[in-house]
Amino acid sequence: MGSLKMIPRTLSILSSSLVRQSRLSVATHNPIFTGNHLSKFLYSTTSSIDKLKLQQETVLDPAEEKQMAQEVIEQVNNQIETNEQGRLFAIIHIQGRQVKVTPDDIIIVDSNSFAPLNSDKIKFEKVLLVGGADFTLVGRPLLTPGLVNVIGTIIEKDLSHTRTNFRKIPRKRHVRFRFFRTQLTMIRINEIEIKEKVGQRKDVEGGDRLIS
Amino acid sequence: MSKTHLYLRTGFPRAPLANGLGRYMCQVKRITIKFCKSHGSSRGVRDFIETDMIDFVKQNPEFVLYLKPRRHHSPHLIAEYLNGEKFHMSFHNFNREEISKWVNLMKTRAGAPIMAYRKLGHTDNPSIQGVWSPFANQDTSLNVTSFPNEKLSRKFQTEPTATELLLEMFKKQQLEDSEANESKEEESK
Repeated sequence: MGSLKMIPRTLSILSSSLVRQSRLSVATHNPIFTGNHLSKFLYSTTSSIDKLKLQQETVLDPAEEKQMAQEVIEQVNNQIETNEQGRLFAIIHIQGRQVKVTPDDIIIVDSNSFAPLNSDKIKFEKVLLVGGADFTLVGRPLLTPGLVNVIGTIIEKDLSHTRTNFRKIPRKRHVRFRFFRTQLTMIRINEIEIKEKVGQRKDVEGGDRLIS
Repeated sequence: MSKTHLYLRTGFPRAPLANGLGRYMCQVKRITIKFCKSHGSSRGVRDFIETDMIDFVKQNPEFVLYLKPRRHHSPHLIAEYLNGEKFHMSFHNFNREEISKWVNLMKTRAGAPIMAYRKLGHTDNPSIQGVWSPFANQDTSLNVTSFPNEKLSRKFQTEPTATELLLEMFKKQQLEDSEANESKEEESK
């Protein structure tokens, strides 16, 4: 038992399950190793002695983590300020569908209740995500209103090809055909633009939309 | 004989002449309506001409609307588009509302032949952050690793197997037994 007592159990992780794959280092941000099965083995004395090894746990300082985040946000803001972000893409929510778009794209909305007419410009309010080559802004679930400007032009309103709805009940002499065409609206995405600084919390959000 | 006209045409959405990149351009060039001045089947067309046509033409100066009276002919429409396509449609026994609806549709179309779209979008830039591959965001030490690698070929497992648990239980039991023996020996001494 002498060898076991030498190991400072409160500071390190003793786990046979982790020793098995020595290439993995344990860190708190890795969700795999912070689960229940880890705590189960954390202070376990059942580990086979020959497998015992010290596993160092690295804990990130919250202040340090915050500073790192600040630096990244600053870099993103610098890139946007100097207009070096390149082509942006966005995921917009439109008629219950989430579409990835980038400027000059065409999207088609298949809906009979989509009101905009040809040549209308639309601003897409529901933006779920915006990304460039070097960064991605992810909304939870939507990005702050006003942060991103995604604008599109309606270029075509047409009917789809004739679709067929066919219904038959066997042995009951029931056959129905229904033919229908739905409205397709073609939209050209004109621009995706980040209007405000990233990572800045405003006192009041969405007030401009409440007024207009 | 070719049967291509019998099958449903399919395709991918495209906008003619890069429409909408700078500004929107109406794609219809000319709409011609042929009708009869006396026949009942042209009644709706005549109503449309009397009531809606002037407003419709004034609102849409981008294209021209021709009216061609044709004696004892069934009324129909021919729409011609900037991409050279022609679209014919019968207005036989249509009423005024139907006609203004269809004429409006001809105006908002871009002239592509009717087809089933295989996709509801088109992009010239499919990826901005790079196409994903299994090696994206992987450890860079993999670049200098020689394969096959025994360490990497092993199964990724975070929980101990049943065999290992049994072995551990067995070893624990052995340890406890030996401890008990030692204590007994000490007591006996």
